[in-house]
Amino acid sequence: MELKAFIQLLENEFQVEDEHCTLQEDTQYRSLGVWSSMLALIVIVQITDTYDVVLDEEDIKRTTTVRDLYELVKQKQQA
Amino acid sequence: MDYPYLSDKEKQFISKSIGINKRRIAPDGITASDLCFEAAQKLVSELAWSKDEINILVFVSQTPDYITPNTASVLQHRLGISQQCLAFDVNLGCSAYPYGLSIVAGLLQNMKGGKGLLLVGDKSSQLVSEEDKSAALLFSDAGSATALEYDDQAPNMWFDLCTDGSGAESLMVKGGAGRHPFHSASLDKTEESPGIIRSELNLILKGLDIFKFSVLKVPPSIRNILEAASVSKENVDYFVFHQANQLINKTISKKLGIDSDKVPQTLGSFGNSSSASIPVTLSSELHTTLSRGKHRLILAGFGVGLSWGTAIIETDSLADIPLIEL
Repeated sequence: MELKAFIQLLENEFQVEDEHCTLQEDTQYRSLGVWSSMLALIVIVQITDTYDVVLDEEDIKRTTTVRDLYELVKQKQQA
Repeated sequence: MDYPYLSDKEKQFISKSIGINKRRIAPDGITASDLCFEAAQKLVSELAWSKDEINILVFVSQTPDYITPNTASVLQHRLGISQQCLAFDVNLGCSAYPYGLSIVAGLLQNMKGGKGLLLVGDKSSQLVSEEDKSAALLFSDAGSATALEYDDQAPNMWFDLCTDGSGAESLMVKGGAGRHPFHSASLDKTEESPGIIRSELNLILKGLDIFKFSVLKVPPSIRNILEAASVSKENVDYFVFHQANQLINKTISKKLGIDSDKVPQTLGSFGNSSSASIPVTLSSELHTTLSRGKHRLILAGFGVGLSWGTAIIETDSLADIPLIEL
């Protein structure tokens, strides 16, 4: 599981909402204007599809940056 | 969808991602039991059953006519069914159909005979706040009737029925019953977060929790029942899932490696019709197919409770009765 590919996966979904949106590992993604409960569901579905890790609302709330989310998925994948 | 509480993008999300384009809402004064009554009248007539022969009536719903008595008793009288009929309600939602089939089939098995009616339906529109954008555009109202008759030559029906009450608050109407009785402020609405305005009598829906629950619990349940019945997924003609969210059903199908041709969908036309979504899908998408020869089906319902149930059933030339629109 690579950070770069993870960021790209998320960025693709954020750009469906805002084509100019770019993400970095330190982006506080839940503070962005495009973030919504619907985008959260899409992100969770993509992470489930790609990494076979299923997150819920509390998991998402525990993360601030893209890297936090990446680390959480990685940790759950290895558990 | 003409709905002022959602942006155009949010409406697009509901249509494209969740998969809902149209919903069916019953008018004021029509209850879930009214919808089931119409379905039962049509079904009993088409089958040419005598109402004196029906000795089981089970009504599965979260929207009964009254707190008491049970709605099944009201329906027994209204349908003109014999008094030699056991009748009771079961409070279940999205998992209602596999549970209901199990209950009626089990009763018939114990009686070694008889005929049963399973009536499953909900008027979810009466539970949802129109000002709650997390739930308002998802649900439809529908009722169904299924006739079951004991046949000692019939193939086995297989069930995997499960519960996890730790998730009860993920789908809940908190007020109006024993724990939080109706009081003077029960109808007052508050804005719990932007776009989510509801009273304690309205449904709370935590969509992300339901997604996680569904994609984690349903695939193992289906694998379990296939193994128990010694059936391979290739030998199942159709997988009929509860219709809550296209993303959920696609994820479950992908995890199980099921061809989408075997997974009929009615979300687009009917939304989430709660307890009735599986029979609505059977009637709407498969009624002609199932009227011709034998078919093996997996039915999977999952949601409020949290509760989930999977069934393997084999059908043989079912009555060809299309969906009724009132």
